[in-house]
Amino acid sequence: MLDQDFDKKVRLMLEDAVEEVPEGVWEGVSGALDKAAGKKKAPPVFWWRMFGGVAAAAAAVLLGVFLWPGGKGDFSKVESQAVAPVAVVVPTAPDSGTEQPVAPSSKTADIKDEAPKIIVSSSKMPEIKDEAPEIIIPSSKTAENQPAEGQVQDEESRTTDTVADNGQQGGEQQAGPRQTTPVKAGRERIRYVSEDSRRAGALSLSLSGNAFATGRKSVEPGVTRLAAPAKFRAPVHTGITPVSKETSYGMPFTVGLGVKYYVLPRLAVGTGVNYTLLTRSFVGTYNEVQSSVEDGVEHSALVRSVTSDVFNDQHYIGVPVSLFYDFVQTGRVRVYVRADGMVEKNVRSHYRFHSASESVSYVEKVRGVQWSAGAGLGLEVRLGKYVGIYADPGVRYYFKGNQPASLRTAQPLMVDINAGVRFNIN
Amino acid sequence: MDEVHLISACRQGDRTAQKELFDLLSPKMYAVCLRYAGDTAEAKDILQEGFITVFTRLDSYSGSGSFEGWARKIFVNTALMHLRKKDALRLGEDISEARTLASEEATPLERIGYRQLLQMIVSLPDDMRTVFNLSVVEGYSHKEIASMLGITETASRSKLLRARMRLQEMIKKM
Repeated sequence: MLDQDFDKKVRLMLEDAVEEVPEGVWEGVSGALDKAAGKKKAPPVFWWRMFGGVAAAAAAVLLGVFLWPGGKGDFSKVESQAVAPVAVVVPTAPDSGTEQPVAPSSKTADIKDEAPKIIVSSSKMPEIKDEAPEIIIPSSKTAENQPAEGQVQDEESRTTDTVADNGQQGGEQQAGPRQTTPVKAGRERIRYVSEDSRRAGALSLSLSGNAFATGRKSVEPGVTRLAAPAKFRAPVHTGITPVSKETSYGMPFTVGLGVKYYVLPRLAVGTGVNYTLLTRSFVGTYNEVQSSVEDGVEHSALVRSVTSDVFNDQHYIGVPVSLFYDFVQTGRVRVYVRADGMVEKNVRSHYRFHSASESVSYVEKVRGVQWSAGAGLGLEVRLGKYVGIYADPGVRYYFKGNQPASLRTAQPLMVDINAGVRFNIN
Repeated sequence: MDEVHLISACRQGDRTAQKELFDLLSPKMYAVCLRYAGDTAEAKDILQEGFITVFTRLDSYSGSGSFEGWARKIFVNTALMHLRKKDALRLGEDISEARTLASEEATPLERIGYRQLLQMIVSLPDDMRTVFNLSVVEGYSHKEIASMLGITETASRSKLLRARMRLQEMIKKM
């Protein structure tokens, strides 16, 4: 028919026609896509976040070192401290030389002139000799204090909490036969280091867990890239793509084992190994494409496409390296600042699809490592001679890398609290 | 980058790949938009919105069938949405004029080129132009067109006949 011929000719003229695209269209498309993805075109924000994280860690250490009054003491001459209660040795009689250990909270003690002494009453000013600090006890009896391993005086025994001099402020003293050097002649505390404590720094093991972390629902798409199976020469196009803008992140879970070693009386280094589990869920499409090469030509074919709820669990093994600085040390309590860096390796990233028609399970190979830096303020309480508990709230910044989307990529700066048990092994 | 690579990269938000796909498709899709739009400004809007839809709904492309065909449908739907907003698709049922002219000899199209034909199509009223494009160029049936535009099949046929008639008249006058 004539009409059909006309239509056919028109179709042939129009169906493959091309036109010059006007200016500005791509910019409009790109801007709209950026807006949809929630991206910003401002200068990279993550840089200041990264530096902010590092600066926070450095500032925490510097704050503890320089601003805390106790930190100004010459800690280099004070040995590290073992984790053990103060042992007060009480001679049965003056100059008898016979000594009996008493409880640290004892209010009276026999004190020998050449030995470090403990003030048992805050109303008296002690006499401090050149070779050793001396505490005057108003009672007739004095006690000799011989800290077994160079201990921080227990603050709970407040009857022995005051040291003052008759002209000599605290600080360093000449070493006597049992060299003891108060770090600070202050009201709150005295620290003594006996000869016996001049040995390798205290070493402790810790078992920790992550008690809190920032978790949230995110609107970032969390696009995931999957690596190509080795058997195909051509790059694989298999991928998982979220179809919804909403991703739900689970609270990160971390457990670990650590070692902490005091290189200086207040300064310790630590390391260890930890395990972290990250989870997220979103609605996504799994496209499985097989690629092959025939006669030098690459061919790809979509073999499966599944859209459903996707559950992703990511498993990391990490090694932290930490610095601790104690700015409060007492018999039972230690308050410290911490700064650390950590490297983590994703050992498994697993996706599970559960659609109405089929279930798909996929394990993604993740290359590279995750770097992070953290800082915190910790509190450790000794429960006994060899064991203590600690809590360490802080912040951590996760540097951008080639890792799967997770809460860390959505929110690189996170707040968490690490808590655990610390075992002192020497 | 071949098409499958490109689509996969676009799905993952690769802006470079998206730009490449845009450069690949936009000349042809702009021509589609021009045929539906009343002017170049509207065609530009349709083209931009169409690509935004293509990239945000890329996951719904299953891989079966031509990607260009899939994208073309998106642009056609985008154009129809634009026309609906303008309320330009109200269609009448007057077919008397079309019946009178149906038997006339078709005008040879060899006289004109693509550009002139396009200008003639753009000059048609929105409703006739839309039906003509959907039926003649895109290949939709009148049943499908009726469903897409919310009209009867009779109205779709009528508008097509009237559009064809007007184009033939314009060609004769050249």
